[in-house]
Amino acid sequence: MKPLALRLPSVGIAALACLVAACSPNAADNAAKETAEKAAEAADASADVATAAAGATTDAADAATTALVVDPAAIEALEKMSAYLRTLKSFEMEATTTADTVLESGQLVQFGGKVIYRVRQPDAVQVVWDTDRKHRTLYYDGKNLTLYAPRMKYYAQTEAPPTIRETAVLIEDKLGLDLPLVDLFRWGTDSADTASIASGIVVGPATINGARCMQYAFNQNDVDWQIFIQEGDKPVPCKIVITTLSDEARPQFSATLNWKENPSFSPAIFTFTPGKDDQRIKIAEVQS
Amino acid sequence: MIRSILSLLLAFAVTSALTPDPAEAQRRGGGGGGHAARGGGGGHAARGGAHQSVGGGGGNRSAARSAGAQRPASANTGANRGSMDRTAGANRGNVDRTAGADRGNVDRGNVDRGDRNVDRGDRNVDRDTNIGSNNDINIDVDDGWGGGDWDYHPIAAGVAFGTAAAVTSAAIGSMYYSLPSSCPPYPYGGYTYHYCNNVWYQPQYSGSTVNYVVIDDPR
Repeated sequence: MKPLALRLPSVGIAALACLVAACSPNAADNAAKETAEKAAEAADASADVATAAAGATTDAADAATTALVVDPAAIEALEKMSAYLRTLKSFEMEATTTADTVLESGQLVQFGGKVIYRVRQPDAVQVVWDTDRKHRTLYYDGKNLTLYAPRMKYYAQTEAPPTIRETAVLIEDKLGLDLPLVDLFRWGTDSADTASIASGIVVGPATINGARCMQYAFNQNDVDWQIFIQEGDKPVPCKIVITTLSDEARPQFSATLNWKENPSFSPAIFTFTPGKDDQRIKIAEVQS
Repeated sequence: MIRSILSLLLAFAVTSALTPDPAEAQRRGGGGGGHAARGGGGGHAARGGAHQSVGGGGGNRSAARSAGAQRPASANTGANRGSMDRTAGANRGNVDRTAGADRGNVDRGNVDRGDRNVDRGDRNVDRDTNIGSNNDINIDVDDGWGGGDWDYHPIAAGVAFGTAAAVTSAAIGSMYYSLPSSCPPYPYGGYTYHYCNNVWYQPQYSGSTVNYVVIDDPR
């Protein structure tokens, strides 16, 4: 007998409270404002009553904070990291990854892998993406995007926009490539959209590969995600954990990241040149 | 205890799936059985996996996923998946999962997320194609690897299709994760196709996964 019960999320009191009270910042503000107005009215009648009402205002604000936590410090840390990443003219990031697959039975199996991003702004990327099941390399040289399966010898190539940023959209939205950690290209751009973060908190300090990092936890779209950001003057992400909520088994992806800043790359690594055994195939586009 | 036995069984199943024996691979697929049938419980088919990026994109990505079509009937009925209803968000019970472990200050309390259990669908699948009913997880057979690819991708989540049967009469538009054995490449017009048993297969990437579509003679 599997402990299915432990996987099930709760239908709790706070949820009901949220539904009833519409737990949004605006609602909280309104509630506080209303209380404050009442307090002001009361102040005309009696100074003592006004004091009591002011106390109630504080209570209401506290309650709102508990129900919906978006700590500005967490958002600020994300923005600082993003801004820093944008300053890197080139970088090599190697991540050790684990990713859960959910079997039909609901059981999770974990696969290990490695992904290396070699990036030269604004128009060159090589991604080497090897998991226990799949080996892929992605090449982008400002003109073409190539997806290559080195073991199967298949490659697909398509024309690409002139910048990494636009190409990231092509990769995600048009080709449906679920490239791990593609967020690296989003952070610091308009599409990063920190506005859709529903909750964000500062968890506390952690040590990742010997580096001192600060841990943050967010909820956004249909994922819970955690990011550990290096402390000091080079705020790169040290580790990322993403929990998928749309499946009740809650599969997780985790990546521990190692950074090499501003390395020099041979331009040739960004352009795919087919070998004699390589075969060109097509790539399906997402039909939305 | 039972769980560890299950793990061992699974480990065995994985090992046998990795047997680099084309004949074995073909039997699995061509026989129409595959692991799903052999396992008796559909235990080795993948229904999905973890997101590997946070996304964002102004919610577009999320919308695209959640707006996906329902899983095809074959994925639900092709194998006996037991009595668990995976889609009924409302039935997800009253168990307080915060009690299971000390979640520290990450604990967000008892927030109901029942409605998030949406079908992420398969964004880039032509729903009208005739998809093979083999529910085998062992897809995207990388060369020399014999096993397959369990990675989630937009198609794998919603559609079950397996190894192309070594028989004729495959319908145009059928999609498979692997070819029959001895199905050689046939370069034509700058692209590679495969031709065997009077059937033409066009390999293609769907997301990062390779699959094979049965097509008309391209020549």
